[in-house]
Amino acid sequence: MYNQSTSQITQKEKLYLEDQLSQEQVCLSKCNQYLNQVQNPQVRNCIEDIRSSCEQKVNFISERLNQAGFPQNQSQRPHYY
Amino acid sequence: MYRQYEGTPTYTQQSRMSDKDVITDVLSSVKHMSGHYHQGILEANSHDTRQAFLNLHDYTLDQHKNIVESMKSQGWYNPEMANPRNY
Repeated sequence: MYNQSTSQITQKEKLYLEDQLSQEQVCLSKCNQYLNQVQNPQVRNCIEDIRSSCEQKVNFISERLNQAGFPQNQSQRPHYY
Repeated sequence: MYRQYEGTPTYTQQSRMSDKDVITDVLSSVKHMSGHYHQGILEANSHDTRQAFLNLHDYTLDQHKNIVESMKSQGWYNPEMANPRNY
Protein backbone atom coordinates (compact mmCIF):
# COMPACT_ATOMS: atom_id res chain seq x y z
CA MET A 1 0.00 0.00 0.00
CA TYR A 2 2.73 2.47 0.93
CA ASN A 3 5.90 3.54 -0.75
CA GLN A 4 8.66 2.15 1.45
CA SER A 5 11.15 4.90 0.58
CA THR A 6 12.49 6.18 3.88
CA SER A 7 13.69 9.62 2.89
CA GLN A 8 11.73 11.12 0.01
CA ILE A 9 8.37 12.70 0.80
CA THR A 10 5.56 14.02 -1.38
CA GLN A 11 4.75 17.70 -1.67
CA LYS A 12 1.56 17.14 0.35
CA GLU A 13 3.46 15.39 3.14
CA LYS A 14 5.99 18.22 3.20
CA LEU A 15 3.24 20.85 3.48
CA TYR A 16 1.51 18.91 6.27
CA LEU A 17 4.76 18.54 8.20
CA GLU A 18 5.71 22.20 7.76
CA ASP A 19 2.24 23.37 8.74
CA GLN A 20 2.25 21.24 11.88
CA LEU A 21 5.77 22.36 12.71
CA SER A 22 4.60 25.98 12.74
CA GLN A 23 1.52 25.05 14.82
CA GLU A 24 3.68 23.27 17.38
CA GLN A 25 6.04 26.25 17.52
CA VAL A 26 3.08 28.55 18.17
CA CYS A 27 1.84 26.21 20.92
CA LEU A 28 5.35 26.20 22.40
CA SER A 29 5.42 30.02 22.39
CA LYS A 30 2.00 30.17 24.03
CA CYS A 31 3.05 27.73 26.75
CA ASN A 32 6.18 29.81 27.48
CA GLN A 33 4.05 32.96 27.65
CA TYR A 34 1.38 31.34 29.83
CA LEU A 35 3.95 29.97 32.27
CA ASN A 36 4.76 33.60 33.17
CA GLN A 37 1.19 34.32 34.22
CA VAL A 38 -0.60 31.22 35.56
CA GLN A 39 -1.13 31.07 39.31
CA ASN A 40 -2.55 27.60 39.89
CA PRO A 41 0.24 25.03 40.54
CA GLN A 42 -1.65 22.21 38.85
CA VAL A 43 -2.28 24.30 35.74
CA ARG A 44 1.40 25.27 35.76
CA ASN A 45 2.50 21.63 35.91
CA CYS A 46 0.10 20.72 33.11
CA ILE A 47 1.39 23.52 30.86
CA GLU A 48 5.00 22.58 31.62
CA ASP A 49 4.22 19.03 30.47
CA ILE A 50 2.53 20.34 27.32
CA ARG A 51 5.51 22.59 26.60
CA SER A 52 7.86 19.65 26.95
CA SER A 53 5.72 17.55 24.59
CA CYS A 54 5.58 20.41 22.07
CA GLU A 55 9.39 20.64 22.15
CA GLN A 56 9.67 16.92 21.46
CA LYS A 57 7.20 17.17 18.60
CA VAL A 58 9.01 20.17 17.09
CA ASN A 59 12.27 18.17 17.18
CA PHE A 60 10.56 15.08 15.76
CA ILE A 61 8.99 16.95 12.82
CA SER A 62 12.21 18.88 12.14
CA GLU A 63 14.13 15.60 12.07
CA ARG A 64 11.64 14.06 9.63
CA LEU A 65 11.94 17.09 7.32
CA ASN A 66 15.73 16.99 7.62
CA GLN A 67 15.74 13.31 6.62
CA ALA A 68 13.72 14.23 3.54
CA GLY A 69 16.24 16.91 2.55
CA PHE A 70 14.46 19.97 3.90
CA PRO A 71 16.68 21.22 6.73
CA GLN A 72 14.89 23.34 9.31
CA ASN A 73 16.46 26.31 10.97
CA GLN A 74 15.09 26.15 14.52
CA SER A 75 15.74 29.81 15.21
CA GLN A 76 13.82 30.93 12.13
CA ARG A 77 10.18 31.73 12.81
CA PRO A 78 7.68 30.22 10.39
CA HIS A 79 5.64 32.35 8.01
CA TYR A 80 2.07 33.08 9.00
CA TYR A 81 -0.63 33.94 6.55
CA MET B 1 -13.60 62.02 20.31
CA TYR B 2 -10.83 59.90 21.76
CA ARG B 3 -10.31 59.85 25.47
CA GLN B 4 -7.01 61.35 26.49
CA TYR B 5 -4.93 59.08 28.70
CA GLU B 6 -2.47 60.55 31.13
CA GLY B 7 0.67 58.50 31.54
CA THR B 8 0.92 54.77 31.00
CA PRO B 9 -2.41 52.90 31.07
CA THR B 10 -2.63 50.66 34.11
CA TYR B 11 -2.58 46.90 33.71
CA THR B 12 -6.04 45.94 34.83
CA GLN B 13 -7.21 42.58 36.09
CA GLN B 14 -9.74 42.49 33.25
CA SER B 15 -7.01 42.37 30.60
CA ARG B 16 -5.38 39.30 32.12
CA MET B 17 -6.46 35.82 31.05
CA SER B 18 -7.59 33.60 33.90
CA ASP B 19 -5.94 30.23 34.48
CA LYS B 20 -9.13 28.63 33.16
CA ASP B 21 -8.90 30.72 29.95
CA VAL B 22 -5.26 29.72 29.54
CA ILE B 23 -5.82 25.99 29.89
CA THR B 24 -8.92 26.19 27.68
CA ASP B 25 -6.89 27.88 24.95
CA VAL B 26 -4.18 25.21 25.16
CA LEU B 27 -6.87 22.50 25.00
CA SER B 28 -8.32 24.13 21.89
CA SER B 29 -4.88 24.18 20.21
CA VAL B 30 -4.23 20.54 21.04
CA LYS B 31 -7.64 19.46 19.72
CA HIS B 32 -6.99 21.33 16.49
CA MET B 33 -3.56 19.71 16.06
CA SER B 34 -4.95 16.25 16.78
CA GLY B 35 -7.33 16.55 13.84
CA HIS B 36 -4.53 17.74 11.60
CA TYR B 37 -2.32 14.76 12.51
CA HIS B 38 -5.22 12.43 11.79
CA GLN B 39 -5.54 13.99 8.35
CA GLY B 40 -1.78 13.61 7.90
CA ILE B 41 -2.05 9.85 8.55
CA LEU B 42 -4.73 9.56 5.86
CA GLU B 43 -2.67 11.55 3.35
CA ALA B 44 0.69 9.86 4.02
CA ASN B 45 2.37 8.29 1.01
CA SER B 46 5.28 6.50 2.69
CA HIS B 47 5.31 4.13 5.64
CA ASP B 48 7.78 6.37 7.50
CA THR B 49 5.65 9.50 7.16
CA ARG B 50 2.54 7.61 8.20
CA GLN B 51 4.36 6.27 11.25
CA ALA B 52 5.62 9.78 12.05
CA PHE B 53 2.08 11.18 11.97
CA LEU B 54 0.81 8.23 14.01
CA ASN B 55 3.43 8.91 16.70
CA LEU B 56 2.61 12.63 16.71
CA HIS B 57 -1.10 11.83 16.88
CA ASP B 58 -0.54 9.55 19.90
CA TYR B 59 1.56 12.24 21.59
CA THR B 60 -1.20 14.78 21.00
CA LEU B 61 -3.92 12.49 22.38
CA ASP B 62 -1.82 12.03 25.53
CA GLN B 63 -1.55 15.82 25.82
CA HIS B 64 -5.31 16.13 25.39
CA LYS B 65 -5.96 13.57 28.14
CA ASN B 66 -3.61 15.34 30.55
CA ILE B 67 -5.29 18.72 29.95
CA VAL B 68 -8.81 17.32 30.34
CA GLU B 69 -7.87 15.47 33.55
CA SER B 70 -6.30 18.65 34.90
CA MET B 71 -9.40 20.70 34.01
CA LYS B 72 -11.73 18.11 35.56
CA SER B 73 -9.77 18.19 38.81
CA GLN B 74 -10.30 21.97 38.91
CA GLY B 75 -14.01 21.66 38.15
CA TRP B 76 -13.56 23.43 34.80
CA TYR B 77 -14.66 20.56 32.59
CA ASN B 78 -18.13 19.30 33.39
CA PRO B 79 -19.82 17.72 30.39
CA GLU B 80 -23.54 17.29 30.96
CA MET B 81 -24.70 13.70 31.35
CA ALA B 82 -27.54 12.43 29.16
CA ASN B 83 -30.74 11.93 31.11
CA PRO B 84 -32.90 9.01 29.85
CA ARG B 85 -35.99 10.63 31.34
CA ASN B 86 -35.62 13.55 28.91
CA TYR B 87 -35.72 11.19 25.94
